[in-house]
Amino acid sequence: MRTPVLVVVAVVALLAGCAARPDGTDADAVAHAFYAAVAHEDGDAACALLAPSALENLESDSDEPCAEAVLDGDVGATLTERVPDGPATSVHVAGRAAQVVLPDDVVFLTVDGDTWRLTAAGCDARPERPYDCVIEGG
Amino acid sequence: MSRLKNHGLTLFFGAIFLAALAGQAISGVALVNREQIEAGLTPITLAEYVTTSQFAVDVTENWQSEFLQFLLYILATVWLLQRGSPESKPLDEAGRESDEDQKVAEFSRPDSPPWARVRGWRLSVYSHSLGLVMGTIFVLSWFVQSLAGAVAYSEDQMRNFADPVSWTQYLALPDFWSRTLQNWQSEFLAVASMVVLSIYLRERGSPESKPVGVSHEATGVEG
Repeated sequence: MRTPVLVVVAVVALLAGCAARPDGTDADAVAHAFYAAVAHEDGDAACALLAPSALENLESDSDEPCAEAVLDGDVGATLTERVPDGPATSVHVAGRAAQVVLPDDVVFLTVDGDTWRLTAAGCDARPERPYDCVIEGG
Repeated sequence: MSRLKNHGLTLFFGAIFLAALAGQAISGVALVNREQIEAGLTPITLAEYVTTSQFAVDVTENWQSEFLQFLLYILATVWLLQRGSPESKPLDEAGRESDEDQKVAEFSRPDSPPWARVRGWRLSVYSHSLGLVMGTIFVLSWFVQSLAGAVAYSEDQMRNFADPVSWTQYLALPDFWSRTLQNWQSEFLAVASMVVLSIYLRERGSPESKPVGVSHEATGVEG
């Protein structure tokens, strides 16, 4: 009977691994929360939802703290223009990466612990190449 | 101890398979976590890693090629011969062979497997059971490789700010065929090498080799 017990333990461990992973609904919620923070000019809340590499790139590109950079200049103008006025048109999740297509923008996210964080926002499609984004993590 | 001795080959390969799989999982999660830490993200656990598509595609791309290798070897050696190789049947025995040679139906023996004793569908199935099972595992492994590969590829795409792909799109992408064919070529090379090298080279005591003193011309003789 030892083998079935081991199998049960292994399956529970694997399911526990799965259960901790946030899903597409969570990714959609984080994308909308980011844009809600931008709409309310709450830079700290918006930056709290960025992946570390995206936050660092934004700060180094703008020479400003993230909370200001996300609302100022071209980045702020682009994001403000793209605040969604409705639900996502599609959400794709593959492993620990996600793409949320909003009415006026495409954002990319990664899993960090038990939540999603944005790796890119303010993205424009380019033929045969990756999206060009105003915020991009490395 | 006699049970260990009687099943040593299975136990040895079963043990090194599990050890290698565990090693693959541990080194794989270490690689992922190096990238996670470099990106300032939370490391993942081993239990999380073994449920990822990345791990699944890496495992199954190797499994499918191994089972394909043995499937082709099992089937090709029914008809194809190689003079001088212990991997080949004797040169006059190509084909499915007679019922008498195969000891089935009325030619069966008291210790023959039950499905080999009576003509009918059971004998037909049992006569191809090894190829059927190896072929089924090959097809399933390749199918899982394609599913997991599509997810892993999409994950990589989205990490690089590109669109994900569907399973059917993935089947036409170079990633799927590169993963597949890089494994196939190595398996086919290994089989061809074994067939040819065993004509001229020996490993004393191994059933995969001819006896050391047997002629290079002798075919279908195992040590």
